[in-house]
Amino acid sequence: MPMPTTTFTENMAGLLPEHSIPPERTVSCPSAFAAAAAAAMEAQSSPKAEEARAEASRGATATTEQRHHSPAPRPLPFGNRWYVRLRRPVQCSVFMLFLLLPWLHSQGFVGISGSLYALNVFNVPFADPVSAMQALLGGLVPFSLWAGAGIVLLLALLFGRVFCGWLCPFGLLSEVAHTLRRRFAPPKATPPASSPPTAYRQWFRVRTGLCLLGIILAAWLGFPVLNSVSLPGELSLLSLQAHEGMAAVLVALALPVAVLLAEVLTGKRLWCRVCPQAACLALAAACTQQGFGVAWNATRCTCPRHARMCEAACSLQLPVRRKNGPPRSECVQCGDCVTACAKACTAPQGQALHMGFEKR
Amino acid sequence: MNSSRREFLRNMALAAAIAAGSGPLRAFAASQNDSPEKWIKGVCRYCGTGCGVIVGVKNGKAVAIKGDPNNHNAGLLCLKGSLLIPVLNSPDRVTQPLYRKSKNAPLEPISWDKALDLMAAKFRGAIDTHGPNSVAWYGSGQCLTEESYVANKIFKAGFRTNNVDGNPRLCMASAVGGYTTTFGKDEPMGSYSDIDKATCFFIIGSNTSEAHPVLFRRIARRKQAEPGIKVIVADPRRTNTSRIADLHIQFRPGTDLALMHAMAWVILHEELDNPRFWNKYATFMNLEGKPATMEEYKAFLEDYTPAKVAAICNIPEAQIWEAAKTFAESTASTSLWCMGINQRVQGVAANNLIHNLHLLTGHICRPGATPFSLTGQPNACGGVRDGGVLSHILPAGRSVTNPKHREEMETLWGVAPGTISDKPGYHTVAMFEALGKGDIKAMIICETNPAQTLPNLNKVHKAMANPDSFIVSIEAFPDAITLRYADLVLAPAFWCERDGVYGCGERRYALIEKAVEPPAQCRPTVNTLVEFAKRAGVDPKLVAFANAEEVWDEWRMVAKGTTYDFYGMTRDRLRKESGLLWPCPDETHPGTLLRYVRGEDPLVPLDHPDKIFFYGRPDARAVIWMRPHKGAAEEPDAEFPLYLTSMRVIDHWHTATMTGKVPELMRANPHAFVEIHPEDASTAGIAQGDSVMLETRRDSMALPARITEVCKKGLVAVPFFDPEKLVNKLFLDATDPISREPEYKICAVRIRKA
Amino acid sequence: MKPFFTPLRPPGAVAEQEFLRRCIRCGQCVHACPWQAVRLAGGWGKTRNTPVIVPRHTPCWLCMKCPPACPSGALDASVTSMEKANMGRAIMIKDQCLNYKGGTMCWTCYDRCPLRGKAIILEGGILPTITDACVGCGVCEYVCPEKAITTVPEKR
Repeated sequence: MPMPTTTFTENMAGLLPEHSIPPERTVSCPSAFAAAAAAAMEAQSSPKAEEARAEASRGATATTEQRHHSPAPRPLPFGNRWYVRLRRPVQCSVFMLFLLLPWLHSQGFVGISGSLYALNVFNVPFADPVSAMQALLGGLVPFSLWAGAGIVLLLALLFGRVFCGWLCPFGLLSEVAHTLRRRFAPPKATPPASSPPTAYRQWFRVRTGLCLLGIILAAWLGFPVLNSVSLPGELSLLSLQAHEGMAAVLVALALPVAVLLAEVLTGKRLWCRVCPQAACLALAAACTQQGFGVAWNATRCTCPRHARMCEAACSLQLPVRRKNGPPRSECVQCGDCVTACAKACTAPQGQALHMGFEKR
Repeated sequence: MNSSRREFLRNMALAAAIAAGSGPLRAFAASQNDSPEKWIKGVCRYCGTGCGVIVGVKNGKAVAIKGDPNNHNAGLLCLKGSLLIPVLNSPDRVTQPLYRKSKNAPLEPISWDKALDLMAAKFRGAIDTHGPNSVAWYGSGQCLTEESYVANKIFKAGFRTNNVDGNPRLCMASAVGGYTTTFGKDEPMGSYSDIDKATCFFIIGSNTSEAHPVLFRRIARRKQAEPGIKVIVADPRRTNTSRIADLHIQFRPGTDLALMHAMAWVILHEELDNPRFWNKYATFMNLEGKPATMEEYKAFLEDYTPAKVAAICNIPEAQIWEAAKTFAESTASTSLWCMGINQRVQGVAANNLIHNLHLLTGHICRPGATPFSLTGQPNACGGVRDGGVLSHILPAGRSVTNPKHREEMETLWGVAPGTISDKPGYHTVAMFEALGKGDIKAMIICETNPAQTLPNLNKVHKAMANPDSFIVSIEAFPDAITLRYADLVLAPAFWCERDGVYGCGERRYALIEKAVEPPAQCRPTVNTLVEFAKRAGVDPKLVAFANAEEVWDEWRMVAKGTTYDFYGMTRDRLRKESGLLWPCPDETHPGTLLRYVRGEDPLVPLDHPDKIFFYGRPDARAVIWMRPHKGAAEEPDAEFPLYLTSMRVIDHWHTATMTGKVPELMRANPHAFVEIHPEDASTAGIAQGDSVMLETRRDSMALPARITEVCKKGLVAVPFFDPEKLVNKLFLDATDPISREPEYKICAVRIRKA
Repeated sequence: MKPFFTPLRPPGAVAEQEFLRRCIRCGQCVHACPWQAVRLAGGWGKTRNTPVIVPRHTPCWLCMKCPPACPSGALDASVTSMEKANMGRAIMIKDQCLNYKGGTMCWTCYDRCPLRGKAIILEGGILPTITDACVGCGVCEYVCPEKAITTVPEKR
């Protein structure tokens, strides 16, 4: 047997969503993948699946036979490996940073101040573009806010919605809740969807609509309405509300906790799909296909049509195996699909999904 | 605009409604719970103003305080005084004797009996092995007169040592030196009532508004009532006091001697002096202390023309002319000064020069015209200055070095001739040096906190940590820094938990009557001292006092016939009256407002040929001294370019062991800070609230900056109340050669952003 | 937060209506405050997470570090001097003030006023009186031992 390749992500107590693998086997071992591959093989027998496979592997050179010959999972490419390994620690540290910020300030560290509405990192301004737009309703705002919003949009343009995947504290909570739920209450094996999920298009519309509505409301009511329902902002201000006492913390936590509960109960990540704070980021990210993101190399994709390990791993249920990878407006660049791909990959040329700037 | 106006009005209405609602409610609540059963007369525990108070008592507990309407303060108190009840009722008290087995061990409770035996054994042992000068008393201007008197007697007559000093050395020794060198006798000739008659106030080196608020109010009221009254304030800081001034002379620190010489020069140059007065009542003394003439004095003053002095003091020349003319031309000028003059190496000289101005112009010994030294502690004048509880003096103006005086005291105390040592004991700074060197083996520190108040504290702390020493502290509050170094702590009754006399800055003696019982094991210090003395082998006849009243009666006898004669102030009389001013030789005498004046002062014979009789001087003439201008002991230089001075804040008194117990006061001024002029701050790149590192040759310390234009440029000021920031570590312990008072007011410092 | 009250805003705050529009609730002014005097409003209303100062809890010491910290112009960054803080003004309820009641003289408000001698003067050298120079920092309200001062937001 080949050496087991255990990635960092897998070691993180199964935080990686595993669609088709039972929880007691989350620790990677080749036999688990062999079993999964076998299950996938069985799924191929239906004619529908056959057709889907044909569709999915358009132009693909890899064949099912080749997969059988090289069943060993592969390590992620070096850059991607660090990308997925670093993400969770970064998310946690960002949340911790915001929780500890008042204390850090009291200790004399003042390099970082603000919240996820507007942040000042060693005099480099960052700002939530949605907040900036709402503030604009109050008159011309200072350049630094525009600069901050611009920097954030530029980042979204180049890197996609990394904010959501790397910095947003609610994103972290939601992902963890999602993972835990998958782990302790795995969803019943549902028949795989016949076509790639397209619900994301609705989310995009809902999100943009909410954002526009919020901005109109903000103009009408005279205060940034959307900031009242901003979960990342609220969570990053938690430590400041904590200064006001326990009651204030409970009030601040009410909305995030309610949303989390709803997400746990439904088993879906609801908020991140429609979060109005992400509207501008999504728009910016969608402007180009050339930026950083998940790329799908169709020629290497060997999974059968109905055994979409990558799409099953995506906590946002996005279509992954598309020409330009998952939709940039929706993808939070978490890399879960890439990890899943590597696990399932049997192609000798390497896995089909990876993160980077090149597109195919 | 309109809407904000509406908003404002709505807010106003709400605020008023809330305030109106809460006001009567609070008053109602107070009247329900705290209406006292009886009111008991006393004196405020804080500053040397000595305001009369009456304490409301209910169920044996003090519940209220108000000003005594019959005392000089006419029912008025400052905020500190009006918040004395929380201090009295503070649970944070030393309630039983505590003993530390070794210097590093913690303080542990011990019984009174054991504590006194131990203390007596230590003192007796030290005297037997190392001689009487190996023990010392470090008293306080806050001790009752009776306590100071008993301690003085125990040490000087019982233990036969003159190592008796106290914190008045730090606060008014220079004023004592000034009065005695100029007039022959200590204590001002005027009284607070002169404030109501003066038409010109010359306030120098005193932030009256913060240190003596009740007196300042009297001055301000006077100025308000008669707008023609002039107030001249000479202070390097633009204090609150200077804000009512018509002329504020912001001179360079340490140049006040030159300033006052220049004023004298102007007075003589403009012929505003009073030759009839100085010809008859004054004499001149030159540098060496030899008699001199007016011509020599004039020649001496030629070094201090306004032009020259304006450059020395860094002030406009016109200010000197105006100050001198205003002072001399007024109908009655009163000078007020305090620590800015006293806490200097030239303290006595500066005091003399103030007297010079009064003697030249004859603004003295008339109602409203007097040189008046303000004092810092409630009983420094009465208990320590008058009681002679310093190392070089004996009770009632007698001197240790004068054989006749010693003999008098030996007779009065009924001890063998030669009992009282003829050598002055250690003054404060030397006393703590001796403690460090091991020359003093056992010491009592009573009601004062030298571990926070002495200059060059690091040296003092080291001395107090000397393992060979045995330090007894009589201290009511456990957070006093001194207790960290004390081997034995005795629990005293505090303020109106025992009765005794306080003598304030205007020669007024007033009785604090016992209002409440002390906490469990706290004992009046008089009883403690008597008990200790008996156990330490002092002749029981010397300390045959059952209570403070008996001590007072003896002390009246001792002062009888002296220039301090207050024989008429019996305990009964003091209970009835809200304080009396000595001289008061018999029980019918109403007290004296103006000393040295025929018809006013009972010590001046009614048939005396002159109106004024300076009976303290052998030639009955006060002295106009030629004291040359000298700077501070440590002037700023290239390395330490700024002046550092110590100051007070209105909310705290001394080391805040008392005021620190009052939440209202702590809220207003919780921490020490450093006051910096905006220009100095911007030079050093310091912003408001920044932590500033103050570095002197002794130590360095970080304090938050308070950038205001209060300080003159080149001067930074720190308050010393904060026990967490012992700023006295920064100051040097150079002392005045005559008064031995340390220079707290000036040293060199450099600042940088911490 | 008291209901119905317009809260007291940090120094340099623009008029309340505009402030609510402009403030993006980022908390940078809260972080900028070395005294923790600037704090976030709670509740669910339009003032949620906006900076307020509750003088009776902690007043503003007018260090003027927060206006430059504001990224959105809700606090006017050009306000750098204490005199222009323009937060509101203090109102003295004279029948609660020790000086006006008589018997006790207390200059705590005057003494601790960051604009000492300008915003609160001692009338005749004795009676503390609030002048038009008051910017409403609330220090006097905080230090007043009798709670005789209330700070109200009033822009000038």
